[in-house]
Amino acid sequence: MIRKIDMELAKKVFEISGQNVYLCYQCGKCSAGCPVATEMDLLPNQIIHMVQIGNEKALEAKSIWICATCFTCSVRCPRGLDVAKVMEALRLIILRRGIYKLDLRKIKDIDKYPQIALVGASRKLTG
Amino acid sequence: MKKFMYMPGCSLKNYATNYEKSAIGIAKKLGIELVELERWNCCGVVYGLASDSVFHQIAAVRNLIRAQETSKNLGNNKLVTLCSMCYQVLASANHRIKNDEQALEALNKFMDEEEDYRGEIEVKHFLAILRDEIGFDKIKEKIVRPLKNLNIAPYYGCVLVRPKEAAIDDPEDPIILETLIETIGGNPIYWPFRTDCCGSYNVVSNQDIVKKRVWNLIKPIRDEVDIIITVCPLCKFNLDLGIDFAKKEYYIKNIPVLYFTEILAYALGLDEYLDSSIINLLENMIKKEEVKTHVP
Repeated sequence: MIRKIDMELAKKVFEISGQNVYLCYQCGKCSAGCPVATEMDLLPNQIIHMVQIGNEKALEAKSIWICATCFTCSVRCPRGLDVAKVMEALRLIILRRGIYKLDLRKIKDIDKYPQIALVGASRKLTG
Repeated sequence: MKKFMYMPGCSLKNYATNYEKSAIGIAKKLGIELVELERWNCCGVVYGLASDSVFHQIAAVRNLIRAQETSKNLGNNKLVTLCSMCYQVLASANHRIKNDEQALEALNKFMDEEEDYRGEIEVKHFLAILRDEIGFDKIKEKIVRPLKNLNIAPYYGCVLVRPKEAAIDDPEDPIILETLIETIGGNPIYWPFRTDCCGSYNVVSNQDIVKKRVWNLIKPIRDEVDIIITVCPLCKFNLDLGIDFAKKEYYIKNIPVLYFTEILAYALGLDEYLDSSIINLLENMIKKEEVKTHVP
């Protein structure tokens, strides 16, 4: 029997980012070049694969918040998949539920950071 | 004097004042005037990637509308930025709405108190202006204090060369900063990680990532490098933080991180636009190199 895969998550990602995750053939180029892959619990290509098969655990991964949107994966993907946009879509699914990953009140010595760091973090990690 | 519109962005007005000051000095010396936009606002630092919403483009497009208003009197549609984050956000937003009529219409309707944006502004980074409008060979003629024998590592960071539609040079193998270093008489060293990310805004939420990241970046060049030059105030902040960490943890030597405009201003002899600490630093370094290479 052929099991049907759940495409809901992939559809949602497509709606938000315009990226078709089924382009990915799992070569792993994105993970090989990712500068923060060592800090991630799931590698970028694993995240993509989870979205392909509709595994909602992709949304619980720390990786999507560690991704700093440096676009290395996006310029290198041989299939033209914009991986950074997929990561952003996964973040936005969470953020649009009203769940934020950064509380500026809890940051120590907030005045030592340049604005560019604070605004960037707020825009990526809160809604 | 050719006039260009100029958008400083938030960090240049207090964290990175040296960057702005030296750039303005260079522009004057090379015969261009940077006309600061009136009532500019924060560009948003990171480009919103969602294609189902234009919410994150509002800040950038508002600046582009400001530029459109200014360009009428100036007769030049080029908007110059120094911060590479501002550059990427404005250039990417501009690229998107030029190719997405629906998004442009939605934004124009949302900001009905402003005039409609027509997509005529061209966003340029200051480095690209130096290369395309002035030319590095012209700059070379004006160099009075070459940074002889200094090993300078160029750090591009991510957003100046990526994504492709907003890149000022090749995303994988850029050469513009190396050319600049050669122009001012320095010795550009090959740095495989020059376009790798420094960890960016992770510095706020997870500083350890940035410290480890920067240590890994500087590992291959830590002995031979004299100065690292950068284009982005956030890269500078992160590199300083990571180098401090590596000094304590791995006993590396101090590596000063400067903006590319600071070494260029020094080479052009623009002392009045530089901090005295930077002039001293560079003078001492050049003297040290002279002693090293001196043959009696």
